[in-house]
Amino acid sequence: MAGVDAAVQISELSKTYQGLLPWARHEVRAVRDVTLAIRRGEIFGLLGPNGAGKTTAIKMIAGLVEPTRGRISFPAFKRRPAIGAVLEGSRNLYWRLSAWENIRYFGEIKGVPLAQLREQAAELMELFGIADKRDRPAQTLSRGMQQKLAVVLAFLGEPELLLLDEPTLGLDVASSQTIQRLLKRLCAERELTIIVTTHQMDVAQSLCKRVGIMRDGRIAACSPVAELVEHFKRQDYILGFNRAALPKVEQHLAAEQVDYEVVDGDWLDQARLRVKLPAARAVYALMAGLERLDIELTDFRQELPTLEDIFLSITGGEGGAA
Amino acid sequence: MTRWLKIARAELVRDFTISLRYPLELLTGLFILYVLFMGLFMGAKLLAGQQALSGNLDGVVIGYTMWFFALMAMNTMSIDIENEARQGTLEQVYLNAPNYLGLLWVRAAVHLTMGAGVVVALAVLIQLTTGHWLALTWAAVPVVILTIILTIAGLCGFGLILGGLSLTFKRIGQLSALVQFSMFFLAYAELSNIALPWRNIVAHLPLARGVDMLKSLLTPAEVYPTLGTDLAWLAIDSLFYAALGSLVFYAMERVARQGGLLSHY
Repeated sequence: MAGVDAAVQISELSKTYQGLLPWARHEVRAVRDVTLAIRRGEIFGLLGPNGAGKTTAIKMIAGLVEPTRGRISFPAFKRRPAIGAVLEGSRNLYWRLSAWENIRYFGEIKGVPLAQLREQAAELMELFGIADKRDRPAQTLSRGMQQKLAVVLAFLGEPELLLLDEPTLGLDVASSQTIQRLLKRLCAERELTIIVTTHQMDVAQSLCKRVGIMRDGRIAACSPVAELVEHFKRQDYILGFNRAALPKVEQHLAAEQVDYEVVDGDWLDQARLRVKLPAARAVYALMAGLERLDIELTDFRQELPTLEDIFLSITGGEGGAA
Repeated sequence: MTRWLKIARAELVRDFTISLRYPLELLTGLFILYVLFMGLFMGAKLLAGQQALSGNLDGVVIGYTMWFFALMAMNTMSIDIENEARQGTLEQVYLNAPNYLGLLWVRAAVHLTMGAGVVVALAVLIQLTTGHWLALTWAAVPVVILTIILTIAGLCGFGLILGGLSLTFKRIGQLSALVQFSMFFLAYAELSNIALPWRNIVAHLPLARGVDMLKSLLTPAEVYPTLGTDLAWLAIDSLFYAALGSLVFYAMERVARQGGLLSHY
Protein backbone atom coordinates (compact mmCIF):
# COMPACT_ATOMS: atom_id res chain seq x y z
CA MET A 1 0.00 0.00 0.00
CA ALA A 2 1.34 3.42 -0.86
CA GLY A 3 2.28 5.39 2.19
CA VAL A 4 0.60 8.67 1.22
CA ASP A 5 -2.65 8.10 3.09
CA ALA A 6 -1.13 5.84 5.73
CA ALA A 7 -1.73 6.78 9.33
CA VAL A 8 1.32 4.75 10.30
CA GLN A 9 4.06 3.90 7.82
CA ILE A 10 6.63 1.43 9.09
CA SER A 11 9.67 0.89 6.88
CA GLU A 12 12.23 -1.87 7.40
CA LEU A 13 11.83 -1.64 11.14
CA SER A 14 14.21 -3.76 13.20
CA LYS A 15 14.89 -4.04 16.89
CA THR A 16 17.71 -5.99 18.46
CA TYR A 17 17.90 -6.00 22.25
CA GLN A 18 21.35 -6.23 23.71
CA GLY A 19 22.37 -6.94 27.28
CA LEU A 20 23.61 -3.81 29.08
CA LEU A 21 26.52 -5.32 30.92
CA PRO A 22 29.73 -6.33 29.12
CA TRP A 23 29.53 -9.90 30.46
CA ALA A 24 25.92 -10.29 29.38
CA ARG A 25 26.00 -8.96 25.84
CA HIS A 26 23.56 -11.50 24.41
CA GLU A 27 21.42 -10.28 21.54
CA VAL A 28 17.73 -10.84 20.98
CA ARG A 29 16.37 -9.92 17.57
CA ALA A 30 12.81 -8.99 18.47
CA VAL A 31 11.69 -7.33 15.22
CA ARG A 32 13.24 -7.87 11.79
CA ASP A 33 12.70 -5.72 8.73
CA VAL A 34 9.02 -5.06 9.27
CA THR A 35 7.39 -2.93 6.61
CA LEU A 36 3.74 -2.06 7.09
CA ALA A 37 1.30 0.67 6.25
CA ILE A 38 -1.80 1.18 8.35
CA ARG A 39 -4.58 3.31 6.93
CA ARG A 40 -6.28 6.12 8.75
CA GLY A 41 -9.51 4.92 10.35
CA GLU A 42 -8.48 1.27 10.18
CA ILE A 43 -8.47 -1.28 12.99
CA PHE A 44 -5.34 -3.30 12.38
CA GLY A 45 -4.59 -6.49 14.29
CA LEU A 46 -1.09 -7.66 15.06
CA LEU A 47 -1.04 -11.36 15.84
CA GLY A 48 1.73 -13.77 16.58
CA PRO A 49 2.97 -16.36 19.06
CA ASN A 50 4.79 -15.45 22.27
CA GLY A 51 8.02 -13.61 21.52
CA ALA A 52 7.02 -12.85 17.92
CA GLY A 53 7.80 -9.15 18.44
CA LYS A 54 4.32 -7.64 18.50
CA THR A 55 4.66 -5.79 21.79
CA THR A 56 8.07 -4.45 20.79
CA ALA A 57 6.60 -3.27 17.48
CA ILE A 58 3.68 -1.50 19.16
CA LYS A 59 6.00 0.11 21.73
CA MET A 60 8.26 1.37 18.95
CA ILE A 61 5.22 3.01 17.35
CA ALA A 62 4.39 4.55 20.75
CA GLY A 63 7.94 5.88 21.00
CA LEU A 64 8.69 3.92 24.15
CA VAL A 65 11.29 1.68 22.52
CA GLU A 66 13.92 3.03 20.14
CA PRO A 67 14.30 1.08 16.89
CA THR A 68 17.71 -0.32 16.00
CA ARG A 69 17.02 0.32 12.34
CA GLY A 70 14.19 1.49 10.12
CA ARG A 71 11.65 4.25 10.31
CA ILE A 72 8.17 4.94 11.63
CA SER A 73 6.29 7.89 10.16
CA PHE A 74 2.74 9.21 10.24
CA PRO A 75 2.14 10.60 6.70
CA ALA A 76 -1.60 11.14 7.09
CA PHE A 77 -1.07 13.44 10.07
CA LYS A 78 1.96 15.40 8.80
CA ARG A 79 3.19 15.30 12.45
CA ARG A 80 3.24 12.88 15.37
CA PRO A 81 -0.43 12.09 16.09
CA ALA A 82 -2.01 12.20 19.54
CA ILE A 83 -1.58 8.65 20.83
CA GLY A 84 -3.70 6.80 23.38
CA ALA A 85 -2.54 3.43 24.58
CA VAL A 86 -3.32 0.45 26.75
CA LEU A 87 0.02 -1.30 27.09
CA GLU A 88 -0.06 -2.98 30.46
CA GLY A 89 -3.80 -3.51 30.75
CA SER A 90 -5.19 -2.80 34.17
CA ARG A 91 -1.64 -2.16 35.45
CA ASN A 92 -1.83 1.19 33.63
CA LEU A 93 -3.87 2.57 36.52
CA TYR A 94 -3.02 4.09 39.87
CA TRP A 95 -4.74 1.54 42.02
CA ARG A 96 -5.14 3.84 45.00
CA LEU A 97 -6.99 6.46 42.98
CA SER A 98 -10.63 6.21 42.00
CA ALA A 99 -11.76 5.86 38.40
CA TRP A 100 -12.42 9.60 38.12
CA GLU A 101 -9.14 10.51 39.85
CA ASN A 102 -7.23 8.35 37.38
CA ILE A 103 -9.05 10.04 34.51
CA ARG A 104 -8.37 13.46 35.95
CA TYR A 105 -4.66 12.78 36.55
CA PHE A 106 -3.88 11.28 33.15
CA GLY A 107 -6.14 13.76 31.36
CA GLU A 108 -4.49 16.75 32.99
CA ILE A 109 -0.93 15.62 32.29
CA LYS A 110 -2.08 15.01 28.72
CA GLY A 111 -3.18 18.64 28.59
CA VAL A 112 -6.95 18.15 28.40
CA PRO A 113 -8.83 21.11 29.97
CA LEU A 114 -10.61 20.10 33.15
CA ALA A 115 -14.08 21.05 31.90
CA GLN A 116 -13.62 18.98 28.73
CA LEU A 117 -12.22 16.17 30.84
CA ARG A 118 -15.33 16.10 33.04
CA GLU A 119 -17.56 15.97 30.00
CA GLN A 120 -15.51 13.34 28.23
CA ALA A 121 -15.14 11.21 31.36
CA ALA A 122 -18.91 11.20 31.95
CA GLU A 123 -19.58 10.22 28.33
CA LEU A 124 -16.92 7.49 28.15
CA MET A 125 -17.70 6.02 31.56
CA GLU A 126 -21.36 5.87 30.62
CA LEU A 127 -20.50 4.20 27.31
CA PHE A 128 -18.25 1.61 28.94
CA GLY A 129 -20.74 0.97 31.74
CA ILE A 130 -18.56 2.13 34.61
CA ALA A 131 -20.31 5.42 35.42
CA ASP A 132 -21.51 4.06 38.77
CA LYS A 133 -17.92 3.11 39.66
CA ARG A 134 -16.69 6.69 39.25
CA ASP A 135 -15.63 7.19 42.86
CA ARG A 136 -14.42 3.72 43.70
CA PRO A 137 -10.65 3.14 44.05
CA ALA A 138 -9.34 1.23 41.03
CA GLN A 139 -8.07 -1.58 43.23
CA THR A 140 -11.63 -2.41 44.33
CA LEU A 141 -12.91 -2.73 40.75
CA SER A 142 -13.21 -6.07 39.00
CA ARG A 143 -10.61 -6.99 36.39
CA GLY A 144 -13.09 -6.24 33.61
CA MET A 145 -13.92 -2.81 35.06
CA GLN A 146 -10.22 -1.99 35.45
CA GLN A 147 -9.61 -2.97 31.84
CA LYS A 148 -12.52 -0.81 30.70
CA LEU A 149 -11.12 2.09 32.73
CA ALA A 150 -7.70 1.57 31.10
CA VAL A 151 -9.40 1.81 27.68
CA VAL A 152 -11.29 4.95 28.79
CA LEU A 153 -7.93 6.53 29.76
CA ALA A 154 -6.60 5.76 26.29
CA PHE A 155 -9.53 7.65 24.75
CA LEU A 156 -8.93 10.87 26.73
CA GLY A 157 -8.01 13.97 24.77
CA GLU A 158 -9.27 12.83 21.37
CA PRO A 159 -6.39 10.54 20.33
CA GLU A 160 -5.83 10.00 16.62
CA LEU A 161 -3.97 6.73 17.03
CA LEU A 162 -4.86 4.09 19.59
CA LEU A 163 -2.40 1.35 20.51
CA LEU A 164 -3.95 -1.54 22.39
CA ASP A 165 -1.87 -4.42 23.67
CA GLU A 166 -4.22 -7.27 24.56
CA PRO A 167 -7.17 -5.02 25.46
CA THR A 168 -9.58 -7.88 26.16
CA LEU A 169 -7.21 -10.34 27.80
CA GLY A 170 -8.75 -12.08 30.80
CA LEU A 171 -12.16 -10.50 30.35
CA ASP A 172 -15.46 -12.35 30.41
CA VAL A 173 -17.32 -12.70 27.12
CA ALA A 174 -19.74 -9.84 27.84
CA SER A 175 -17.01 -7.34 28.82
CA SER A 176 -14.86 -8.38 25.88
CA GLN A 177 -17.77 -7.88 23.48
CA THR A 178 -18.62 -4.51 25.01
CA ILE A 179 -15.06 -3.28 24.48
CA GLN A 180 -14.97 -4.63 20.92
CA ARG A 181 -18.32 -3.07 20.05
CA LEU A 182 -17.33 0.31 21.47
CA LEU A 183 -13.92 0.26 19.81
CA LYS A 184 -15.57 -0.38 16.45
CA ARG A 185 -18.14 2.34 17.06
CA LEU A 186 -15.69 4.97 18.28
CA CYS A 187 -13.25 4.09 15.51
CA ALA A 188 -15.97 4.69 12.91
CA GLU A 189 -17.30 7.87 14.56
CA ARG A 190 -13.93 9.54 15.10
CA GLU A 191 -11.90 8.23 12.15
CA LEU A 192 -9.58 6.74 14.70
CA THR A 193 -6.72 4.43 13.73
CA ILE A 194 -6.34 1.46 16.05
CA ILE A 195 -3.51 -1.04 16.24
CA VAL A 196 -4.37 -3.96 18.44
CA THR A 197 -2.46 -7.03 19.50
CA THR A 198 -4.46 -9.95 20.79
CA HIS A 199 -4.19 -13.58 21.72
CA GLN A 200 -7.83 -14.09 20.98
CA MET A 201 -8.39 -14.94 17.33
CA ASP A 202 -12.14 -14.46 17.61
CA VAL A 203 -11.49 -10.91 18.85
CA ALA A 204 -9.11 -10.21 15.96
CA GLN A 205 -11.57 -11.65 13.49
CA SER A 206 -14.50 -9.62 14.73
CA LEU A 207 -12.57 -6.39 15.42
CA CYS A 208 -9.96 -6.01 12.72
CA LYS A 209 -10.27 -5.13 9.08
CA ARG A 210 -6.74 -6.30 8.42
CA VAL A 211 -4.29 -8.38 10.37
CA GLY A 212 -0.55 -8.87 10.28
CA ILE A 213 0.73 -12.18 11.58
CA MET A 214 4.20 -11.99 13.06
CA ARG A 215 6.59 -14.85 13.45
CA ASP A 216 10.18 -14.61 14.69
CA GLY A 217 10.06 -10.83 14.46
CA ARG A 218 8.93 -10.77 10.83
CA ILE A 219 5.54 -10.20 9.25
CA ALA A 220 4.63 -13.65 7.94
CA ALA A 221 1.30 -12.55 6.47
CA CYS A 222 -0.56 -9.28 6.19
CA SER A 223 -3.99 -9.06 4.59
CA PRO A 224 -7.59 -8.14 5.15
CA VAL A 225 -9.14 -10.86 7.29
CA ALA A 226 -11.56 -11.78 4.48
CA GLU A 227 -8.70 -12.22 2.01
CA LEU A 228 -6.76 -14.38 4.42
CA VAL A 229 -9.84 -16.55 4.92
CA GLU A 230 -10.29 -16.79 1.16
CA HIS A 231 -6.62 -17.64 0.67
CA PHE A 232 -6.63 -20.37 3.26
CA LYS A 233 -10.07 -21.66 2.29
CA ARG A 234 -10.17 -25.36 1.56
CA GLN A 235 -12.88 -27.36 -0.15
CA ASP A 236 -14.14 -28.78 3.10
CA TYR A 237 -17.88 -29.33 3.41
CA ILE A 238 -20.02 -30.38 6.32
CA LEU A 239 -22.74 -32.90 5.49
CA GLY A 240 -25.53 -33.67 7.94
CA PHE A 241 -28.05 -36.51 7.48
CA ASN A 242 -29.94 -39.23 9.29
CA ARG A 243 -27.59 -41.41 11.28
CA ALA A 244 -29.11 -44.58 9.84
CA ALA A 245 -27.70 -43.64 6.44
CA LEU A 246 -24.12 -43.32 7.70
CA PRO A 247 -22.84 -46.78 6.55
CA LYS A 248 -24.31 -46.23 3.10
CA VAL A 249 -22.72 -42.75 2.76
CA GLU A 250 -19.36 -43.94 4.07
CA GLN A 251 -19.37 -46.81 1.58
CA HIS A 252 -20.15 -44.42 -1.26
CA LEU A 253 -17.41 -41.92 -0.29
CA ALA A 254 -14.86 -44.74 0.01
CA ALA A 255 -15.82 -46.01 -3.41
CA GLU A 256 -15.46 -42.52 -4.90
CA GLN A 257 -12.11 -42.09 -3.06
CA VAL A 258 -13.28 -38.95 -1.29
CA ASP A 259 -11.51 -38.03 1.97
CA TYR A 260 -13.84 -37.56 4.89
CA GLU A 261 -14.07 -37.70 8.65
CA VAL A 262 -16.95 -38.15 11.00
CA VAL A 263 -17.73 -35.06 13.07
CA ASP A 264 -19.85 -35.42 16.22
CA GLY A 265 -21.34 -38.62 14.85
CA ASP A 266 -22.92 -39.57 18.14
CA TRP A 267 -25.03 -36.48 18.21
CA LEU A 268 -28.64 -37.67 18.65
CA ASP A 269 -29.94 -39.26 15.47
CA GLN A 270 -27.91 -37.05 13.20
CA ALA A 271 -24.59 -37.92 11.60
CA ARG A 272 -22.15 -35.25 10.43
CA LEU A 273 -19.25 -35.71 8.08
CA ARG A 274 -16.50 -33.34 7.01
CA VAL A 275 -15.84 -34.09 3.36
CA LYS A 276 -12.59 -32.86 1.82
CA LEU A 277 -12.99 -32.35 -1.89
CA PRO A 278 -10.06 -31.83 -4.31
CA ALA A 279 -11.76 -28.88 -6.08
CA ALA A 280 -14.91 -26.76 -5.93
CA ARG A 281 -16.38 -28.49 -8.98
CA ALA A 282 -16.27 -31.89 -7.22
CA VAL A 283 -19.22 -30.75 -5.15
CA TYR A 284 -21.57 -31.45 -8.13
CA ALA A 285 -20.47 -35.09 -8.34
CA LEU A 286 -20.82 -35.43 -4.58
CA MET A 287 -24.35 -34.08 -4.66
CA ALA A 288 -25.31 -36.28 -7.58
CA GLY A 289 -24.02 -39.37 -5.79
CA LEU A 290 -25.90 -38.52 -2.60
CA GLU A 291 -29.06 -37.95 -4.59
CA ARG A 292 -28.71 -41.36 -6.23
CA LEU A 293 -28.45 -42.90 -2.75
CA ASP A 294 -31.58 -40.98 -1.78
CA ILE A 295 -29.84 -39.29 1.15
CA GLU A 296 -31.83 -36.46 2.65
CA LEU A 297 -29.38 -33.76 3.78
CA THR A 298 -30.15 -31.85 6.97
CA ASP A 299 -26.96 -29.78 6.78
CA PHE A 300 -24.71 -28.78 3.94
CA ARG A 301 -22.20 -25.93 4.08
CA GLN A 302 -18.69 -25.07 3.19
CA GLU A 303 -16.44 -24.93 6.22
CA LEU A 304 -14.39 -21.73 6.21
CA PRO A 305 -11.14 -21.54 8.14
CA THR A 306 -11.20 -19.41 11.24
CA LEU A 307 -8.44 -16.88 11.87
CA GLU A 308 -7.16 -19.35 14.45
CA ASP A 309 -6.76 -22.04 11.76
CA ILE A 310 -4.92 -19.54 9.56
CA PHE A 311 -2.77 -18.36 12.45
CA LEU A 312 -1.81 -21.93 13.36
CA SER A 313 -1.13 -22.75 9.75
CA ILE A 314 1.19 -19.71 9.33
CA THR A 315 2.96 -19.99 12.65
CA GLY A 316 3.31 -23.75 12.39
CA GLY A 317 1.15 -24.41 15.42
CA GLU A 318 3.05 -22.23 17.89
CA GLY A 319 1.08 -20.91 20.88
CA GLY A 320 -0.92 -17.74 21.19
CA ALA A 321 0.14 -14.20 20.75
CA ALA A 322 2.17 -12.13 23.22
CA MET B 1 -3.31 27.98 32.77
CA THR B 2 -0.15 26.68 31.15
CA ARG B 3 0.43 22.97 30.55
CA TRP B 4 3.05 22.70 33.30
CA LEU B 5 0.82 24.41 35.86
CA LYS B 6 -1.91 21.91 34.99
CA ILE B 7 0.58 19.11 35.51
CA ALA B 8 1.54 20.61 38.88
CA ARG B 9 -2.15 20.74 39.83
CA ALA B 10 -2.62 17.12 38.72
CA GLU B 11 0.35 16.02 40.82
CA LEU B 12 -0.88 18.01 43.81
CA VAL B 13 -4.39 16.55 43.61
CA ARG B 14 -3.03 13.01 43.18
CA ASP B 15 -0.64 13.31 46.15
CA PHE B 16 -3.21 14.94 48.37
CA THR B 17 -5.89 12.38 47.49
CA ILE B 18 -3.62 9.44 48.24
CA SER B 19 -2.45 10.98 51.53
CA LEU B 20 -6.03 11.59 52.65
CA ARG B 21 -7.19 8.16 51.52
CA TYR B 22 -4.50 6.41 53.53
CA PRO B 23 -4.09 8.64 56.63
CA LEU B 24 -2.76 5.83 58.80
CA GLU B 25 0.21 5.40 56.47
CA LEU B 26 0.93 9.14 56.67
CA LEU B 27 0.60 9.26 60.45
CA THR B 28 2.72 6.14 60.93
CA GLY B 29 5.43 7.66 58.73
CA LEU B 30 5.41 10.85 60.78
CA PHE B 31 5.45 8.90 64.04
CA ILE B 32 8.48 6.88 62.91
CA LEU B 33 10.33 10.06 61.89
CA TYR B 34 9.55 11.62 65.24
CA VAL B 35 10.62 8.53 67.21
CA LEU B 36 13.80 8.30 65.13
CA PHE B 37 14.64 11.89 65.96
CA MET B 38 13.95 11.45 69.65
CA GLY B 39 16.18 8.35 69.63
CA LEU B 40 18.91 10.42 68.01
CA PHE B 41 18.38 13.25 70.47
CA MET B 42 18.38 11.04 73.55
CA GLY B 43 21.41 9.13 72.29
CA ALA B 44 23.33 12.38 71.69
CA LYS B 45 22.30 13.66 75.12
CA LEU B 46 23.49 10.48 76.76
CA LEU B 47 26.84 10.59 74.99
CA ALA B 48 27.57 14.32 75.15
CA GLY B 49 25.68 15.38 78.26
CA GLN B 50 22.98 18.09 78.41
CA GLN B 51 25.50 20.93 78.68
CA ALA B 52 27.50 19.97 75.61
CA LEU B 53 24.38 19.20 73.60
CA SER B 54 22.55 22.44 74.16
CA GLY B 55 24.97 24.35 71.93
CA ASN B 56 24.55 21.79 69.17
CA LEU B 57 20.83 21.32 69.38
CA ASP B 58 20.18 23.72 66.54
CA GLY B 59 22.43 21.60 64.41
CA VAL B 60 20.63 18.40 65.43
CA VAL B 61 17.19 19.83 64.58
CA ILE B 62 18.32 21.44 61.32
CA GLY B 63 20.36 18.43 60.24
CA TYR B 64 17.50 16.05 60.92
CA THR B 65 14.82 18.09 59.16
CA MET B 66 17.10 18.68 56.16
CA TRP B 67 17.94 14.98 56.04
CA PHE B 68 14.20 14.32 55.91
CA PHE B 69 13.94 16.78 53.00
CA ALA B 70 16.89 15.05 51.31
CA LEU B 71 15.19 11.66 51.58
CA MET B 72 11.98 13.08 50.18
CA ALA B 73 13.77 14.74 47.24
CA MET B 74 15.73 11.63 46.37
CA ASN B 75 12.73 9.33 46.76
CA THR B 76 10.75 11.48 44.35
CA MET B 77 13.51 11.33 41.79
CA SER B 78 14.44 7.65 42.15
CA ILE B 79 12.34 5.29 44.29
CA ASP B 80 9.08 6.70 42.89
CA ILE B 81 10.29 5.80 39.40
CA GLU B 82 11.03 2.26 40.55
CA ASN B 83 7.56 2.05 42.05
CA GLU B 84 5.94 3.36 38.88
CA ALA B 85 7.82 0.85 36.76
CA ARG B 86 6.79 -1.93 39.14
CA GLN B 87 3.10 -1.01 39.19
CA GLY B 88 2.98 -0.47 35.43
CA THR B 89 2.10 3.23 35.23
CA LEU B 90 5.52 4.47 34.12
CA GLU B 91 4.94 3.92 30.40
CA GLN B 92 1.49 5.48 30.64
CA VAL B 93 2.94 8.58 32.27
CA TYR B 94 5.66 8.68 29.59
CA LEU B 95 3.01 8.54 26.89
CA ASN B 96 0.82 11.25 28.36
CA ALA B 97 3.26 13.79 29.76
CA PRO B 98 4.92 16.21 27.34
CA ASN B 99 8.31 15.40 28.84
CA TYR B 100 9.04 12.94 31.63
CA LEU B 101 12.09 14.75 32.99
CA GLY B 102 10.08 17.97 33.17
CA LEU B 103 7.27 16.09 34.90
CA LEU B 104 9.75 14.76 37.46
CA TRP B 105 10.94 18.28 38.30
CA VAL B 106 7.33 19.48 38.65
CA ARG B 107 6.50 16.41 40.72
CA ALA B 108 9.50 17.09 42.97
CA ALA B 109 8.44 20.72 43.44
CA VAL B 110 4.91 19.62 44.40
CA HIS B 111 6.02 16.77 46.68
CA LEU B 112 8.52 18.99 48.42
CA THR B 113 6.10 21.86 48.86
CA MET B 114 3.67 19.43 50.44
CA GLY B 115 6.54 17.88 52.38
CA ALA B 116 7.50 21.32 53.66
CA GLY B 117 4.27 21.32 55.64
CA VAL B 118 5.26 18.00 57.18
CA VAL B 119 8.79 19.25 57.86
CA VAL B 120 7.52 22.40 59.58
CA ALA B 121 5.12 20.32 61.69
CA LEU B 122 7.92 17.90 62.55
CA ALA B 123 10.33 20.73 63.39
CA VAL B 124 7.73 22.37 65.67
CA LEU B 125 7.00 19.03 67.37
CA ILE B 126 10.70 18.38 67.89
CA GLN B 127 11.26 21.85 69.33
CA LEU B 128 8.21 21.45 71.57
CA THR B 129 9.54 18.16 72.89
CA THR B 130 13.10 19.33 73.41
CA GLY B 131 12.07 22.74 74.67
CA HIS B 132 14.69 24.34 72.46
CA TRP B 133 13.54 26.78 69.78
CA LEU B 134 15.39 27.80 66.65
CA ALA B 135 16.09 31.52 66.44
CA LEU B 136 14.23 32.26 63.23
CA THR B 137 13.60 35.95 62.67
CA TRP B 138 11.25 37.35 60.05
CA ALA B 139 14.18 39.10 58.43
CA ALA B 140 15.99 35.80 57.97
CA VAL B 141 12.98 33.98 56.47
CA PRO B 142 13.66 34.84 52.77
CA VAL B 143 17.31 33.80 52.97
CA VAL B 144 16.42 30.64 54.89
CA ILE B 145 13.80 29.69 52.30
CA LEU B 146 16.20 30.44 49.43
CA THR B 147 18.91 28.34 51.09
CA ILE B 148 16.48 25.45 51.58
CA ILE B 149 15.26 25.67 47.95
CA LEU B 150 18.80 25.73 46.55
CA THR B 151 19.90 22.86 48.77
CA ILE B 152 16.88 20.78 47.78
CA ALA B 153 17.36 21.55 44.06
CA GLY B 154 20.86 20.13 44.28
CA LEU B 155 19.54 17.08 46.09
CA CYS B 156 16.88 16.57 43.43
CA GLY B 157 19.60 16.69 40.79
CA PHE B 158 21.59 14.13 42.74
CA GLY B 159 18.43 12.04 43.07
CA LEU B 160 18.01 12.15 39.30
CA ILE B 161 21.32 10.34 38.90
CA LEU B 162 19.88 7.53 41.02
CA GLY B 163 16.59 7.78 39.10
CA GLY B 164 18.39 7.34 35.80
CA LEU B 165 20.25 4.34 37.14
CA SER B 166 17.03 2.88 38.48
CA LEU B 167 15.36 3.32 35.08
CA THR B 168 18.10 1.29 33.43
CA PHE B 169 19.41 -1.10 36.05
CA LYS B 170 16.18 -1.42 38.08
CA ARG B 171 17.35 -2.80 41.39
CA ILE B 172 19.40 -0.05 42.99
CA GLY B 173 18.00 -0.40 46.51
CA GLN B 174 21.43 -1.02 48.07
CA LEU B 175 22.92 2.01 46.35
CA SER B 176 19.93 4.13 47.41
CA ALA B 177 20.35 3.00 51.02
CA LEU B 178 24.05 3.83 50.89
CA VAL B 179 23.35 7.31 49.51
CA GLN B 180 20.64 7.96 52.11
CA PHE B 181 23.07 6.89 54.83
CA SER B 182 25.75 9.17 53.39
CA MET B 183 23.26 12.04 53.38
CA PHE B 184 22.79 11.56 57.09
CA PHE B 185 26.50 12.18 57.63
CA LEU B 186 26.49 15.16 55.29
CA ALA B 187 23.54 16.60 57.20
CA TYR B 188 25.57 16.48 60.38
CA ALA B 189 28.97 17.39 58.95
CA GLU B 190 30.50 20.32 60.88
CA LEU B 191 32.35 22.01 58.05
CA SER B 192 34.38 24.19 60.42
CA ASN B 193 35.74 21.07 62.14
CA ILE B 194 36.96 19.48 58.91
CA ALA B 195 40.57 20.12 57.92
CA LEU B 196 41.46 21.62 54.56
CA PRO B 197 41.39 20.59 51.76
CA TRP B 198 38.68 18.08 52.78
CA ARG B 199 36.47 20.91 54.05
CA ASN B 200 36.24 22.37 50.55
CA ILE B 201 35.47 18.99 49.03
CA VAL B 202 32.73 18.16 51.55
CA ALA B 203 31.26 21.65 51.16
CA HIS B 204 30.65 20.97 47.47
CA LEU B 205 28.82 17.72 48.18
CA PRO B 206 25.00 17.84 48.31
CA LEU B 207 23.39 18.99 51.55
CA ALA B 208 26.57 19.85 53.54
CA ARG B 209 26.90 23.55 52.69
CA GLY B 210 23.14 24.13 52.84
CA VAL B 211 22.83 22.67 56.35
CA ASP B 212 25.94 24.55 57.48
CA MET B 213 24.46 27.82 56.22
CA LEU B 214 21.11 27.14 57.89
CA LYS B 215 22.87 26.52 61.19
CA SER B 216 24.53 29.93 60.92
CA LEU B 217 21.33 31.63 59.80
CA LEU B 218 19.31 30.15 62.64
CA THR B 219 21.82 30.79 65.41
CA PRO B 220 20.88 33.86 67.43
CA ALA B 221 22.99 36.96 67.04
CA GLU B 222 25.64 35.25 64.98
CA VAL B 223 27.32 37.46 62.40
CA TYR B 224 27.44 35.81 59.01
CA PRO B 225 29.94 37.74 56.92
CA THR B 226 30.33 35.13 54.15
CA LEU B 227 26.60 34.73 53.46
CA GLY B 228 26.82 36.16 49.94
CA THR B 229 29.74 33.97 48.92
CA ASP B 230 28.20 30.84 50.48
CA LEU B 231 24.88 31.53 48.79
CA ALA B 232 26.64 31.93 45.44
CA TRP B 233 28.56 28.68 45.90
CA LEU B 234 25.41 26.90 46.99
CA ALA B 235 23.64 28.12 43.86
CA ILE B 236 26.54 27.03 41.63
CA ASP B 237 26.74 23.60 43.29
CA SER B 238 22.97 23.09 43.09
CA LEU B 239 22.88 24.14 39.46
CA PHE B 240 25.76 21.75 38.76
CA TYR B 241 23.97 18.82 40.44
CA ALA B 242 20.65 19.68 38.78
CA ALA B 243 22.32 19.83 35.36
CA LEU B 244 24.41 16.71 35.96
CA GLY B 245 21.37 14.80 37.25
CA SER B 246 19.27 15.88 34.26
CA LEU B 247 22.01 14.88 31.82
CA VAL B 248 22.59 11.50 33.45
CA PHE B 249 18.85 10.89 33.59
CA TYR B 250 18.46 11.85 29.94
CA ALA B 251 21.30 9.51 28.94
CA MET B 252 19.94 6.64 31.05
CA GLU B 253 16.45 7.21 29.67
CA ARG B 254 17.90 6.84 26.17
CA VAL B 255 19.57 3.58 27.22
CA ALA B 256 16.26 2.40 28.73
CA ARG B 257 14.41 3.22 25.50
CA GLN B 258 17.04 1.37 23.49
CA GLY B 259 16.79 -1.62 25.79
CA GLY B 260 12.99 -1.53 26.03
CA LEU B 261 13.36 -1.22 29.79
CA LEU B 262 10.74 1.37 30.67
CA SER B 263 8.14 -1.18 31.68
CA HIS B 264 10.40 -3.91 32.98
CA TYR B 265 11.20 -4.38 36.58
